[in-house]
Parts: sequence; structure tokens; C-alpha cells
Amino acid sequence: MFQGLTLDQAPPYTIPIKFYLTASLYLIVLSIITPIYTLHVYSRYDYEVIALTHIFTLGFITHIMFGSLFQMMPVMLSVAYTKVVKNAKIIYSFLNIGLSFFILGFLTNITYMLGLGGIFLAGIFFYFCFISLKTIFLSKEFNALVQNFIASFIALIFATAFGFTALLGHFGFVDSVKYGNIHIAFMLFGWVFILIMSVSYKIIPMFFVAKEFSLILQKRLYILQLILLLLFAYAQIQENIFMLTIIKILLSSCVILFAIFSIKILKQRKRARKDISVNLWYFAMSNTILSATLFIYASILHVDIYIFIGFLALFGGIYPLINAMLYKIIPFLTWFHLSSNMVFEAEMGNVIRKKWMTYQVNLYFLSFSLFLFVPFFHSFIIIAAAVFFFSAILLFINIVTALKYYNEYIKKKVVFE
Amino acid sequence: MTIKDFMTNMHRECDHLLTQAEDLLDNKKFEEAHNKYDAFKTQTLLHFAMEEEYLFPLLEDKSGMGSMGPTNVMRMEHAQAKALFEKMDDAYKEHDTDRAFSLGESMNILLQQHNLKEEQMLYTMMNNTLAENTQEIVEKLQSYGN
Ligand SMILES: [Fe+2]
Ligand SMILES: [Fe+2]
Repeated sequence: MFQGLTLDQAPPYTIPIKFYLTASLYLIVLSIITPIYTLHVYSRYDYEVIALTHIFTLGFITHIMFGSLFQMMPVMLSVAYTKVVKNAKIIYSFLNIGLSFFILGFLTNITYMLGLGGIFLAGIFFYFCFISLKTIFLSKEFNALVQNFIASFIALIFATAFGFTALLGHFGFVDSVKYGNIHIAFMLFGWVFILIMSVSYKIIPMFFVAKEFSLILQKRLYILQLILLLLFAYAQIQENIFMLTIIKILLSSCVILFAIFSIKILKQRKRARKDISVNLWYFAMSNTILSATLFIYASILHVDIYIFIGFLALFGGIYPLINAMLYKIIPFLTWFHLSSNMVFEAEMGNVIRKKWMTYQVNLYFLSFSLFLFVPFFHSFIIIAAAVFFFSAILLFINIVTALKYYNEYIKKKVVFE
Repeated sequence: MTIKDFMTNMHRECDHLLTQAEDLLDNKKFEEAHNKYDAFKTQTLLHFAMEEEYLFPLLEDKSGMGSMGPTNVMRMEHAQAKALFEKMDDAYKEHDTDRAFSLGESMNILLQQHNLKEEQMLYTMMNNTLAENTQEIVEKLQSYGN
């Protein structure tokens, strides 16, 4: 009856931390190579743009998401990944090997690297979907959270398949742009958005002692989103521009709807004190609304501002959300693992100094603002990237500090003979 | 009312007490903050007692899961909360606002994820396994500790 059910914090502390540390390293790499490769870039189809975007989405976002899922699944669904240590190792290694080939392939135009990278990445994504769905189905309940999780993994399967297909286009087999667009839609409007929704439904009421999201939203929005995505794929393949425009408007409206609801719920939270994560959350949701609105505008009027929209959504919307989440999760996780090992001297407030988190977040805000000037003064990209470099370094240092804190205190663990 | 409803309501009630204590602290009303914090602590400890002394043993017996399974993890987390209470006592006594907030943050997340696991899993199990005696059990919980 209780098989697969656990209330244990299944994975060891080092698993999520390794994913988080690596994620922040990719941000450092990104901030260094962005000015080198983007001084002469003007279109989202340029290989350099594709490479940089994937350093961000695969190097940063994916690492955070995978690491967090290993950690959070037991808490949120009361089910844990089986053989979590081995699986985490496999996924970590192949994700990084695949990513390295993939990025080098795009930057150097060596096609076999691109192909190899694509195969590794597709393989590892399918594998992660497989073990995750297997785990989710162990859950005895079929509540809104479980449904949303399943939906996000279904979107990820499609996104991966279409991404791989788009890659075949670079070898001349299919139209890369067409399948690339479907890939992006499934990734952003599907996998990332639905996963963020599912996690928010739980996390916002928990961390901020706020009201629950309405059940209609929780149980219907993801279905609507999945249907729209399938129609999007159909319209894109058929090149039905009119239908495509309508669907883009609807997909964006769903995102806007969710963002507005989450702002509303946060505003009415009971833990009223403002902290960095609340600010980051508002900032993220505002940029999400702005980018979705611009996407509607661009689709209707056929203006090519997609690089800017992508920047706004990824760097202004998803990034701050993740940054906020990291500063909630890492100190808690560190303290929790220590305290469950009977090391009670540790305190969450001492894991990462508040001051250093604030510095890092302020540097991010500054670099975001500087990036906004790039369309007018292209050389601003160097300053903006430089500021972001320091932000990324500081993020890395902050995570290392947490790890050091853990290592120092875990020595005090009392072992009962 | 089911066991799950009753216990879940109590979780919410405790959440609310802690946020009230922190609001008062934020407004530098130290005395009132301390009283609210005390109420939060008393209520939370009573809730732990209901689980550890009454509900968990019932469930362990009826379901045959024994005392080393999920309920043991819950007891462990209660112990973590109790260790936090000791520190929070000092912070509230000494009007150390920053420390009280930082410890309150740990307490909040600890309890939230703990409650989530109970609500998702243990209370659902209790509702199923102990269905026949629901009324009797809820009545006992309502007058618990009196
Ligand atoms: Fe409990
Ligand atoms: Fe409880």
C-alpha cells in the first residue's frame, strides 16, 4: 500500500547544490561570451543567438529545474525518484556533455558536433521525462498539482521532439524555422510555463502564507495551454498564418492571466514583510506580462522584435523568478539537512548573508537596465554583460558559501553508536 | 468534518498566528508580539501532541505501517520545530527583531512543507483508514488537552 511513498527528503544535499552551482557557472560563461559573439548579431536565426540562448536555457534554466525537481518532488507529491543518486549522476553528466557539443557545434559550425550534441540532449530529456512521469504516477492522488506536473512533462516531450526535428533542418532535411518555432512554443508556453505554474500554486501560498489559486485556474489552464500548443504545431506546419496569430494571442493571454492572478495573490499575502524574493517575483511577473503583450502586438502587426521579446521573457521574466526561488530554497535546504542530522546550532539566516544576496540581486537589476539600452547603443552590451558577470560570480559565491556552511556544520553531527 | 479538515484548519490557524506575531514585531509592539508568539507556540505544540500521542499511533495500528515509516519522519520534523522554538523564545524575549524574523522564516517553511506532506498523504490516509470512527475522533480532537 505504501510502496513508493515517502516523506523523507530523499536526495542528499549535494545533488541539488551541484546542479545549482553548475547553473551559475554557465551564467558566468554566458556573461563572458555574450559581448564577444553578439556585437554583430541582428536576427534570432543567427547561430550565435541560438548558441547563447541555449547556454541560458540548457545551462542555467534546465540545471535549476532538474536539480529542484529531484529535491522538491518528494515534498510536493510525497513520491521520490528511485535510484536518485545514480539517475542524477547520469542526467548531470550527459546533459553537460550534450550541451558542450551542442554549443560548440553552433559557435564553430562543425555539424557533427551539433548532431552529437542534439542526440545526447534529446536522449537525456526523454530519459528525464520517463523517470519523472514514472515517479509522478506512483502518487496515489490525481490532484491539480499532479495533473499540472504531468502536463508540463508532456509538453517537454513534444518540445524535445520538435527541437530535435528542427536540428535536422540544419542538415537540410526539414524547414528548421518552422520546427524551431514549435520547439520554442512547447518549451516556453508548455514545459517552463506549466512547471512554473504548478510550482507556484504550491509555493506562493506556502512561502508567503497567501491564499490558494482558484481551483478552476489550477485545473483548467494547463489543459487549455496544451490544446493551444497542439493547434499551434498544426497551424505552423500548415503555415496557416491567420490561425497562428489567433493561437499566439490566446497562448500569451493565458500567461498574462496567470501572471495577474499571481500578483493579486501575492499582494494579499499574510506574511506582509517585503523581502528580496517578493520584489523579484513582482519584477518577473511584470516583465512576463510585458513580454506576452509585446508578443501579441508583434504577431498582429508582424513586426520583428522577437529578440527583444525573448530577452524580456527569459532574462526579465524567468531569470528573476529562479533567482528568487534559489534564495528561498538554498538557505532552507542547507539548514534543513543540518537540522535533520541533529545539528541544531545552524541557523537559516546565517547560511548566506542577506547583504550578499541583496548585492547580487541589485547587480542583476542594474545589468537588466543596461541591456535595455543596447538597441540604441550597441556597445552597451559590453557594460551590461560586465555587470551581469559580477552578478553571476556573486551568485556562484553565495551558493558556495551555503555549501561551505553545510560542510562546516555537518562535522558536528552526533553519531549514535 | 473529517480528520483532514480539522487538522488542516488547525495548520492554517497556526500559520496565521505566526504572521500576526511578526506583524506586531514589525510595528515594534514587543509585548503583544510576544503574546501572539506564545499563542502560536502553544497551539503548535498542542497540534504536535494530537498527532504524536493520538493520531499517529491510531494510524500506525490500523494501517499496519508501524512506527518507523512516514510518521517517524513527521516526528523528526516536530523535533526540528521544537529546537527552533527554543531559539525563537530567546529572540522574542530579547526583542531581537532580525533574528526573530530569520528564525520565523525557517519555522514557516519547515511547517509549511511539513503540513503539505501531512495534508497530501497522512491525513488522506487517516480519512480512509479511520473512516468508521471519524466522528468520535474529531470530537476527541476538539476537546484535546482540556
Ligand atoms: Fe505534524
Ligand atoms: Fe499537522
